[in-house]
Amino acid sequence: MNVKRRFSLAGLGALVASLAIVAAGCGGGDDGGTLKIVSDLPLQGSNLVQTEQMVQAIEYVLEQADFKAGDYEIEYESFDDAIASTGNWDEAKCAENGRTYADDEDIVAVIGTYNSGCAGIIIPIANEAGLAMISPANTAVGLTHSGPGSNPGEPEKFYPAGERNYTRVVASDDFQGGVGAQYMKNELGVTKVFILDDREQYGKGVADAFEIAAKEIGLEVAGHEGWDKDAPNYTALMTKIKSTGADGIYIGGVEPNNGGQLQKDKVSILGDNEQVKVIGSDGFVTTAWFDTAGKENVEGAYGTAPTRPAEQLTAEGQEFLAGFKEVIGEAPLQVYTLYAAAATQAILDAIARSDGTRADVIAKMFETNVETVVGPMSFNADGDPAGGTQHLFRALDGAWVWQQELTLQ
Amino acid sequence: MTDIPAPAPVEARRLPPTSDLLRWVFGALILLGLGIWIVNEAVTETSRFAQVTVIGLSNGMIYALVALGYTLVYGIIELINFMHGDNFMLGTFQANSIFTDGSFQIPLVFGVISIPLGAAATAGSSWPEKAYAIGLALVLSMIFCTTINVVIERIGYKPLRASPRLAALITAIGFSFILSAGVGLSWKDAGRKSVPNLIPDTPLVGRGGKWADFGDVVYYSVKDLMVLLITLPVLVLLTWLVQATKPGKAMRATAQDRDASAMMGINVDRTISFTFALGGAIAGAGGVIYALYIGTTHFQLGFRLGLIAFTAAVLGGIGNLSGAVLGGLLIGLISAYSDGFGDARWTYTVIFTILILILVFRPSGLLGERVPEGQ
Repeated sequence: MNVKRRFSLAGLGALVASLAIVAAGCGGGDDGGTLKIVSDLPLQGSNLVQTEQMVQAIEYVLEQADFKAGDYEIEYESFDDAIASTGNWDEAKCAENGRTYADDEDIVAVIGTYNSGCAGIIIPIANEAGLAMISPANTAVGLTHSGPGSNPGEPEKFYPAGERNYTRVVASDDFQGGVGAQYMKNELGVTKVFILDDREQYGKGVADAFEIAAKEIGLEVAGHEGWDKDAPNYTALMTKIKSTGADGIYIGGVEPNNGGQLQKDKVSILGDNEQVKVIGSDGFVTTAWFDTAGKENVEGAYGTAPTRPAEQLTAEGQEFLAGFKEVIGEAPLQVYTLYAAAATQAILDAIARSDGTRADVIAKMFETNVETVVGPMSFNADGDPAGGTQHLFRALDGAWVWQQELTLQ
Repeated sequence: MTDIPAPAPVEARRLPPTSDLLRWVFGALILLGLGIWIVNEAVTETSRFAQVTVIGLSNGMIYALVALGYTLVYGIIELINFMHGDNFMLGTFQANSIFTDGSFQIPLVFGVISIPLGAAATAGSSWPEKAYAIGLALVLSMIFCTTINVVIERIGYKPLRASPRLAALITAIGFSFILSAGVGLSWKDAGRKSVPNLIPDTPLVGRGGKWADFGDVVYYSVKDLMVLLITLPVLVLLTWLVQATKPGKAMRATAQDRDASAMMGINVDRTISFTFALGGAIAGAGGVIYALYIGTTHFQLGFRLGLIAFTAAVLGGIGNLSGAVLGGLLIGLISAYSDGFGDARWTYTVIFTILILILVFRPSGLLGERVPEGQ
């Protein structure tokens, strides 16, 4: 409790200090008044490797913009939707955060969330409060539209007020599962695939989308099961997969759900990733997987992600990266960092064009057409990014190496 | 004085009530169904069945090691020592510290005291280096977990010995949280920690096996052998300790009747402390074995593992050392069969269905309870 309070005090202190600097720098501020944006990310455990950088990227974009969007002064606060006891996002914490945003009249936009499950809790609360949300990382299909991997009643159940208030800057899992299945059959030559998911909304969603796509293109599915993240090991499960004769495994989920142990046991029972091919969803395209599974066990595995890697960036992106490298130093750039920056740029652009009310920020957000660090950004009526693509990565010698851009055929 | 003849015993000859009969028939049908399923798989898929059995036995031995700690303490003071699983988790953390950082670490709320020992080892280290690291880890982790167990017994459980049993139970749950979310989390954060692969996966039986090469029929590695070679002696040693030594006799006497043993000159407090020390030592050794065999640890490991191990102890007959091992092996086998032949999603449902059925037929566990009398 004490620790928590100290953290929030420190955060408040930093905020006040940065505002004071901004205020001193511009000699009093402009006519538009002050508006507040917040970010909602899981800032605990192994998520932190990624999410801490996202917060830094948001702060960096704001600093570059002098904490301004058009005539408005922008205040920013980072919220944590994870709890220390699990190191992961928490339903109660997400709901509590959502209510905090809804009740604070100064807040006009939320950058978040990271986990789709948490988004499913905050979107309806923000929707009833008429508050704009822009996610740098959510990929669950049902958050914006129905399709492979969405659940019954989605996306309508997230928008009780009837109007949309949520956009995202990354393409959804139905594309990711689809291109994964295509690549596995056409390029890797897999004939029979076993699908595993971590039983969570994101993992099961992307795995379901993969299964539907695999059946459509004639890739035989030997089985589809959920692994138990609390099991000590998965050797019996891998023995069963071996007996099905599958020559490919698709893993939908996130690495913190014991993904390291899963991959260790995969290699020990089924052999390396040349013998039985592995494609992981973007929750596995993290450097943490090399630590928990051992980089020799991940070697040669593939991963798909809706995110563009640093070396494939536009000139604007390269420029951002050159400056941002000074903030993060030697730390490797994580996949969603650039998208946190892009989401911040998009929402600042919307706020600048708005009249400062929550309703108008939402309206202008859906009319976004702006050049961001990951390229041009605009949204369709569902809130999905226009022309979203997927990218293929391969684990080579302890790093994720970009292979190619994938589009759904 | 004339002898009064004892009345002839009245023989009960009524039929069991219908509900009992139904319960038996229903339970027998489910067990029969599961039995037929397993036998059928064993016949049709022999090699997978053999492999899954080996996996189940090895995992089961890990459960058994944890279950022994629960059963020891329950046997003597009828306390479900919920923190045992978390103490076990701290044992795996200590192993992680010694293998990856090469130091013995003492976690304190404000920081970690680290004593460098130069024992860091990787999969590529030489055998003497590995043996040094593993030996050191076993000894230090046992001392570490023993200390935790004994200290908690002194400050947490001893003052509550005369209180209602619920008070001690709540204290045990409290310590479980303190050890996992307090000590474990502040020591190693929430991420999963990998332990270097010090014991190689070299197959002894199986394709390219050193002992026998049956192809892909069954795979048994040096790692599996290690678990067996450590668990069996621990069980034999424990049984000998409890059955044949003086402290063991004192333990059994205290378990039977605390007041009477005190009158006979047994130091009850010291005996109970000794039991906790023994439980801590098993947690420490078990933690190192777990770290070496499984290879990944996590601060919340103790909760699920503790639940499974406690279930194993009840299944075998709580308070009964052989029962704990039998229960652990059974749960290991059941979960491996469920993962390997059924759907991994249903594993816990299957485990607990079987547990409920066994308890319906044998409420005191497979080998019978051994708990304090008259309490």
